[in-house]
Amino acid sequence: MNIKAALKYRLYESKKSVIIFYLAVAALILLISTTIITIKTTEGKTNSLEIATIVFLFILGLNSFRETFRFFMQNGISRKAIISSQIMCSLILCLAMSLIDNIILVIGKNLLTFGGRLDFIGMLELMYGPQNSAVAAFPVSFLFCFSIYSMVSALGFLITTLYYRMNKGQKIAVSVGVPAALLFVLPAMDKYIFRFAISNVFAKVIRFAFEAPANAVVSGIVLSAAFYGFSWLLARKAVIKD
Amino acid sequence: MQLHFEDERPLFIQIAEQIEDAILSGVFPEETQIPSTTEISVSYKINPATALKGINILVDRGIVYKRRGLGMFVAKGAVGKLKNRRKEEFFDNYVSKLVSEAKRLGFSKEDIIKMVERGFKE
Amino acid sequence: MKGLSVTNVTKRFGDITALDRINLYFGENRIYGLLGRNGAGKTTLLNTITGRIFADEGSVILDGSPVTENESNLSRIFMMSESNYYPENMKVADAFRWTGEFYDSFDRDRAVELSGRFGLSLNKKIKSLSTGYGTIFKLVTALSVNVPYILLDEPVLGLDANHRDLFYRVLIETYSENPATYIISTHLIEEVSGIIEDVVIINKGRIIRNEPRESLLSKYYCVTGHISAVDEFARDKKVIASETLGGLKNAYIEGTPDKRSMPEGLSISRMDLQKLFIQLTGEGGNMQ
Repeated sequence: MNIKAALKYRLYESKKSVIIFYLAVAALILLISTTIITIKTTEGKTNSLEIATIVFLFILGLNSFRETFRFFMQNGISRKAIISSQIMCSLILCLAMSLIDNIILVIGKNLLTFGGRLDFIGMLELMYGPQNSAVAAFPVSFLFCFSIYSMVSALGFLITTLYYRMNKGQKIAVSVGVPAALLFVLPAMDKYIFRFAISNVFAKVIRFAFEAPANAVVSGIVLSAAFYGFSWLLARKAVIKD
Repeated sequence: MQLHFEDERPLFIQIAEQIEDAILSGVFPEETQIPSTTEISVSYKINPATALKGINILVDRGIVYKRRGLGMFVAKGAVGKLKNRRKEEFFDNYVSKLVSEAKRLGFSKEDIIKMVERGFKE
Repeated sequence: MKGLSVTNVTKRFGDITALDRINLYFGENRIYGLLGRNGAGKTTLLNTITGRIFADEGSVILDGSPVTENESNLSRIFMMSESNYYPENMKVADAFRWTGEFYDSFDRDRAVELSGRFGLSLNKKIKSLSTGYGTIFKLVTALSVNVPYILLDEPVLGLDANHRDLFYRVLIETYSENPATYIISTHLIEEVSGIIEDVVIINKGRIIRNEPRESLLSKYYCVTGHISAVDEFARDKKVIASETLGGLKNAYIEGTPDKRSMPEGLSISRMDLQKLFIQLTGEGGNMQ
């Protein structure tokens, strides 16, 4: 009952942003199409749709803790229901947006070609090249997008939950420390101490994780689960702050 | 009507007395309804339990009674009862105070009797 | 066991002990006044009761089971906070709608009716309301939610005299029609002193008094008269505070007065809650 109401609220809140996002996407496609129709010599490729969705879901994830947590606490909703509703809402959004994006891709690829002058390239094709079968491409692309979306959304939620739990000092330490570690300390250690062992292992892991679409789907889902697991540990002990 | 929070008597006794005053002065004639506990507590801004306690004193004294589903009503003969009780209390409440104040001011017994006579004339 | 019990609750913020081994029991359908000075620990206690923050030690039990993370118990408590925890762009009407989604017992018609009586506009954004109307919005919600335990933290903050008067009336009406346990946390004592049945006084994180108002007040009285007469009378008695005005003295004394043996020239009055509170919690208070 509690979870249901919480989920209802989250979906209602996300609905507006999602609609605005797709209105912008539609406007963009319309603009490109008109440009191609009016200016006969232009040719175009569009491969930014899913990237846009990823950025959108990441930001949505980043904005989903503080305000909602306080509002839900005010209304007697348990932390369990707060995080469960977040996971469910994110999964529903990722499924829906993956479906919509792939439908747009199919429409674009088949109907908005303007005699080969415009090409819609999906994220799957961008990373792994054209798929052999157009029939198989849809479900694979759908799952692929979904798992990446879900991972990004979960990461956004994890970061915002982490920042909510930290005090000012910790926030500054993490904001400075993490980029410093990733950009300077780790590469330096890798180079001078481990003689590139770290980067080799890392490259291997990445290569394996994203070698084929199937690997990427599994990796995306595993990482989402891990991010949500950490978020749950953090949110479980979150308290209201003024 | 007003309650005095610093009055030495508890609020519920003040409530009972104020309703008694209203009955004596004819604001609530016998066999008519007095305000409900909620109305009393809302207008005095006191806890309904306190108002109820005040009314229960009146019930115990036979001044008001409950009509099921309707509310509290002033009992038949309530005014007579109240007058009798107040007459009994008249000496303690008024005369003894009057006399001690009179002594303090240096009035004689005759002075006071004259004043009482004047009071009855006016 | 029925009721809300707080057992041995301790809460620390760094070196500060905000709540120090608190033991309290709130029975069904009574109105409690949680009285304390600013920073005494009132909000911390209420936040701990509702599970918004976690106690370091101790437990909060409602009708036999914990409150924290317990859906059925959480839905039976509503806390009106001093802070505003509503989203940035939410309108009053939307907040009522969602409160109805979260609390089955919420009476939206009642909320709309009360908004009308207080002059609260339903189309305004909550965050754009003035302090007074922000409080009114939260009060209207709390008085329409119809749950068995309602916690009001500083319920008259920023309200003008008319709105405070209306609030007390509506509170009593609501309580009469729909009895519930109310815990009213405030430092404005005079106005609520007739409404509360039970008094809980918190000072520096500790409960220093916890009993029905009548019994608390009957333990003290005030004697007024000439300084020398009052001093003579109070010589063998426990005076908790006194004040002088010229040759006149007020002494607040612990105990029950023996009216028959009152010396000439002294008058007795009842201790009022606000005066008692000030004596118990003031810097000069000697009754910690």
